[in-house]
Amino acid sequence: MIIDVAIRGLLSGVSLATVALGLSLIFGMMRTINFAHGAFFMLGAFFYVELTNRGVAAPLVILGSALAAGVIAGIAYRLVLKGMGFLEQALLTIGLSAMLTEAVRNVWDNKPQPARVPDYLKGVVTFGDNVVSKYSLFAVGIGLTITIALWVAIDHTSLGMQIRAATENGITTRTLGVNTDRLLTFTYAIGAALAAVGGVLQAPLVQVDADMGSTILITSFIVVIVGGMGSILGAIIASLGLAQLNGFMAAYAPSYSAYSLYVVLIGFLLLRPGGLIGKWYLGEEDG
Amino acid sequence: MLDVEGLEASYHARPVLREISFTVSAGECVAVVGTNGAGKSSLFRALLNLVDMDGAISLHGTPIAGQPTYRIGRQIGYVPQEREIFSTLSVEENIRIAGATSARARELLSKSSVLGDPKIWGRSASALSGGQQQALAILRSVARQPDVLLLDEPLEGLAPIAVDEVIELIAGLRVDSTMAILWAEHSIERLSELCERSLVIQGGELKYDGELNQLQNKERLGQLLGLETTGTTA
Repeated sequence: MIIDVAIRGLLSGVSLATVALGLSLIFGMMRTINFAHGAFFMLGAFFYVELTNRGVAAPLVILGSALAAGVIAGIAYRLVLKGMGFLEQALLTIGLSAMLTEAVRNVWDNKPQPARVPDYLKGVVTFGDNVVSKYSLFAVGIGLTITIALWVAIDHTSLGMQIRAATENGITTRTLGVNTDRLLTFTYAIGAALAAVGGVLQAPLVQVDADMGSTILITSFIVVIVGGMGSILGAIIASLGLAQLNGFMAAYAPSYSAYSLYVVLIGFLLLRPGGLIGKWYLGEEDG
Repeated sequence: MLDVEGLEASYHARPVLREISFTVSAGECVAVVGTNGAGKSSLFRALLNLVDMDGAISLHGTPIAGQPTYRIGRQIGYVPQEREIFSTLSVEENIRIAGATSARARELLSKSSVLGDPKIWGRSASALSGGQQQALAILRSVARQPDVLLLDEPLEGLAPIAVDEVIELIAGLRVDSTMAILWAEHSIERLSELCERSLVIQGGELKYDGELNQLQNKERLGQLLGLETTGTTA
């Protein structure tokens, strides 16, 4: 039982990490409020349904969904969100979320969509007494690859270095010859693309409907805050930890399961507002 | 080389620079002197297109006024008043962010007496002392080998020994270089070690453009700055 819950928690945590890392880039590092993050997750799930129904291969579904969400997000950031304050960002991204949700309702007739698993990913794998679907392992593999790749990219590449600098102090980074407008638009687009990839990976495991983004949005914000604003590693650890907590609470204390993440969030805000790793940036000037 | 003609600037519609015109030649070191709020920092920010500005600015005869800051930043190095070291970057990354390769970053760091130890290059820049951070900010600003370097009060808040180190570093950067320096500072005492010429800015207007030596006369400087009590500290 314990191992089974732990395995499911791991699957859920990796999936959550993919989405939460996107928000960690946008909210944690760029300090841009993004209430449309759940909508990009939902959009990814609908892209999955549409593209797999048309026989598109899974890797292309992932790439296509990420690209589409990234382009929409990049345009929205460049034209509307760039340079706005927190309040304006909040209102504008709520509006963007509503627009995307309504667009999906119109295109897909406001009905939950069945997401089919590709034939080659059907079936199960057994680990002793535990059974895991092949698709879940596929989703974990993709999610882990993306998570590790993003961590390495942010912490160990020139592009990641520029993103870290631009999100810490945009003006100074600009005076050093870096085109921060282009860089931050790209970063925002990558964040939204990660949410869409999360939606793609989750589509066959959950009910795909226009409202599916709201829960993951709240959970992702909790992950970013608990992990530490601006810390990719913190977001990864928080995703895995909170998913395990949620899984074990659901298995052993289901009455309290719904509150467990909020209790952790409140605990961190009171006792360790900087999160597991990272700084509490909100009060500092945005360069 | 750097030609400024009729430069005006404002913050939130409040004028901070009026009709500033001057020319700086290659290799020249020009002290920019003025009291707090006189417009020294605003002049630098206007040159970098960081404030609303009007007027003509050209570098080597090519107009740069109104260009995006990141493009100007590739030709004009800037050390801001607060140093603005990136705490999320290592010491070496703080140089590489300005377009330097790892080899170039290490070459620059080796030039500094306070940053020359390779053991600290991989550490977070936030752990450095004030003098080390200032040296890092200066080295970062010259990573692209700019034509002009803007130094906004680099000696402010430093211990005397750190002041000596920073001056030594700047002097070293001038050797065999055609880079022009515009150096804003409160005190003109140490500026005379490196600069020959001075611009005095007061109330957003250029009050003096001439030899720095002439400002050693306290009464003359006091008059230019509109101070009743004269002194070498502006």
